[in-house]
Amino acid sequence: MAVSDLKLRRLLFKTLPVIAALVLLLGALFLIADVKEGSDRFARHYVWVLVSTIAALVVMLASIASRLIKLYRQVRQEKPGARLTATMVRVFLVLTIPPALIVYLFSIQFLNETINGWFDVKVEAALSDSIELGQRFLDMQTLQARNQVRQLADDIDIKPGNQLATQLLRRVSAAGPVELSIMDYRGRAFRTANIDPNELVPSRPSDFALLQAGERGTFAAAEPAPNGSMQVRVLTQLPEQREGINYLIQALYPLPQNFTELAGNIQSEYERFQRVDYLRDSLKQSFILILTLVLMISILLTILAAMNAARRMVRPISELAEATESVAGGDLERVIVSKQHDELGFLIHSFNLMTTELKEASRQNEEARALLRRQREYLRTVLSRLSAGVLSFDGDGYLTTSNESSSTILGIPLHQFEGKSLAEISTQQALIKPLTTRIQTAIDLHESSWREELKLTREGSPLVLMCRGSLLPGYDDGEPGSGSSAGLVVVFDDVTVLDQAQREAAWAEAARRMAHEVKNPLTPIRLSAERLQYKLANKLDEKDQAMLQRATDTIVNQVDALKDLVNDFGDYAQQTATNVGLSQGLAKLNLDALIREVAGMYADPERPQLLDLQLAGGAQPLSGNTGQLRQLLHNLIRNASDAVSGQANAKIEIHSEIDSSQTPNSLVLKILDNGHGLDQAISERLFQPGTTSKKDGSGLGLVISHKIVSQHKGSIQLRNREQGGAVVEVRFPLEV
Amino acid sequence: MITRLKMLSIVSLFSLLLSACQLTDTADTHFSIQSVETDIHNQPIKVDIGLTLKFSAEVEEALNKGVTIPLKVIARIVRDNQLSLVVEDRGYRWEIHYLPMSRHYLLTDMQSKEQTTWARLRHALGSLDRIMVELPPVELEPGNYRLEVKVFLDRRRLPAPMRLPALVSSGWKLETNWYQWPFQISN
Repeated sequence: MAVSDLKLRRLLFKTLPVIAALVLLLGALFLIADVKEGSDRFARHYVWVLVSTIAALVVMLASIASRLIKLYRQVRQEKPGARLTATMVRVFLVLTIPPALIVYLFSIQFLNETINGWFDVKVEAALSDSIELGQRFLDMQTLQARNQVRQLADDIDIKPGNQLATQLLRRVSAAGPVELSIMDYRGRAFRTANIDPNELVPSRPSDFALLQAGERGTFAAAEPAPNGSMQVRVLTQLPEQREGINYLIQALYPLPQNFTELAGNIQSEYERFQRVDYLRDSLKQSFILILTLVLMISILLTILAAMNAARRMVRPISELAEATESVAGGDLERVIVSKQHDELGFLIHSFNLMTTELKEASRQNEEARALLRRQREYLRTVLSRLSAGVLSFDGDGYLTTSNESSSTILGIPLHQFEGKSLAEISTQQALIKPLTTRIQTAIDLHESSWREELKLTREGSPLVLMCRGSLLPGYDDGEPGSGSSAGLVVVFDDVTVLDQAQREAAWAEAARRMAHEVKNPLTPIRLSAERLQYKLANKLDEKDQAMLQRATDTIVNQVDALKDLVNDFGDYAQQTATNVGLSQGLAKLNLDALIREVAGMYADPERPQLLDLQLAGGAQPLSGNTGQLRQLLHNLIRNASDAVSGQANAKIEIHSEIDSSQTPNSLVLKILDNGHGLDQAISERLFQPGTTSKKDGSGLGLVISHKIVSQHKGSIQLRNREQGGAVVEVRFPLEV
Repeated sequence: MITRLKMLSIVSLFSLLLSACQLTDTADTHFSIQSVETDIHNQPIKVDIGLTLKFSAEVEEALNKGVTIPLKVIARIVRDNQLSLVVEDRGYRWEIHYLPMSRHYLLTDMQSKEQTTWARLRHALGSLDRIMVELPPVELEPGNYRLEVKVFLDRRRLPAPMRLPALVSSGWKLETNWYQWPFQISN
């Protein structure tokens, strides 16, 4: 139904108007051809053709204006193909209108000159002279005939009985009047004579002739004869009356046949010339009018045709542009239907082929991306399960991937830095600067693979990483392994514990050997010195006795000092040795009670303000080894006591509390002093054996303390206080 | 759906056509019908028309310049109230032509081809002061009718270049009004 409506509308508003315009154009052209001929072929339709042509012009103008407005709006709205359509219409018009106008102007000029050329002045004068000559000849013939008839009128006796008919017959002749009639003033003849005996009815004069003859006594004029020739009719009043009535004599003189023919020709040509001369302006106006209408219809039809042609030519291009935009927007389902078999049809076919291939490529790409996603997810899962940290960077040093272990090991949420450069990461996280520097070096030097142990410091504790890096292959030539590097992958492990364990094992072995090798001779040395004192004291004089006494005391004291040192080493070796079996000695204990017990040993009755206990950590029992924790407390309180020794306002604060802000809860032990604080030179290696700021320290106290805390899965930190002194903070996780 | 512009175009076209019709329908005082006599009971119906004809200056000039002037008579009977044409005769035509050599006017009856010459134009036109038109035979049923008569200068038969100027020039609008004579045919 819709299709038939569409066809009907197209027929009514497109096809029929065009056909009507063409018919009008044809009619106007026929009129042009018919104007000069003056025939009646199209005479009846002349006005209607002109009016219809003007109406068609108005309709076409309206149609063109409508289309131009529509096109202008489309150009303003930047619809696809609108500008191209406007350009093509403009080109069509530029190519067609100027030639049409030139032809039109030349036609007008030619028309004017041609029509003017018809009216030669000499011809006109000759024709006028010929007519005048003919008229004078007729006048002479008329005058001669009138004189003759006047003579006849005088000679004829119309009285009854005078053989009037015979008189008339005697006077008609081929050379003279061919018909003579006697008639009254109403034109009623009662006698007539004709040279042709078959002509019985006389030729009646016109009323005008009768009137003239009645008024003036005579009438004479040349006139066309009924047979097509010319004749001179003369009416003259008879001098005599008959029965009291005046009569007229009428005579008809035929003019020579050759004169009639010549006069007819001259008259005919003169009439034609006069008529055309009279019609000259009208002729020009008609020609120009019809030519103008033809030109306007032609131009308007050309404009309409140009618009239609441009629209038809641009339509597939517009569809292509719209389809290209759709494809660019991701719509690959767009297909252009075209029945054209020209280059545009080929282009549309190629476009459809391209979209089909793009669709297939998109599908394959989607599959590949899905596969890639699955593989990436798989890789991410694998990486997340790895205990080693894995980082990947692109060729420009931007972090692309990091697994959870890398964040855990470094203590940094590295996933937040994905997409950032090494420089940005190192700026924001100075902790891992050695690692980022090494990675940048590997990228800069294009090291295909490398392996290096890096030492970092995390929260004051050493962090030892074993790093391995490899360059990823590039894809410059479409083949893996060609061109520049696509990036770098770094895998690292936290070997701090292993490193520390190795160190501790080495130190433990050294301590054990020292304890064994040094401790054994100490007792004999001490005994030998005491024996020397005992044996020689009485045998020496007083001065030598004093010297012996100083020497043996020195030996005994130093042996005691060495024994203490050896005992420390022994304790350290013992801690390392009992590392594995700690769980067997764990018991629920109240740390506050243990603190009071140990702190009591360091109380000084003369300085009651030295120790300040603020203990609130006994609310929850701690699972720990009592002996080790007691030693931990001894080490820490002794260090604090040593730090404040000699100070008048010495003060040691011992706090314990439960930190419930985290799960599991923690028991926090803090020992604060107002001593000289930590030496910055050794602050980064406080928990390494041999590190001490005491003159006679072994450098093992904090190492042992750190070991004990680690065995209880806790953490220990030392830092200086802002108001002076140091604070050691120990955290023990409480069981849930 | 017809758009407003197309509707406007159609209305404009009709307006132009109506204007064109209006151009051809203006009566003139040069031609007038003085009397019409007929006997509707005798077949064929003959209509005796009394006329007064006078040419305008433009027409006389054209006539003297060799242009043949066509005259035409339309006589018809229409059914009253129904506006339906019953019978019509359009065949009565005359042409007047000037003969420069003899300075006479040639009047031709186009139906009978009879020619008469006149030394004066007024005499030639005067010869048409009474014309007889014979309508084709028709059987009139009982009812109301109108006899309509009109005489005019037939501009469509002028030489082609003159048709358009003659259409718009008042000097060429020589025609009588429609003479209407109602009559009734009873049972």
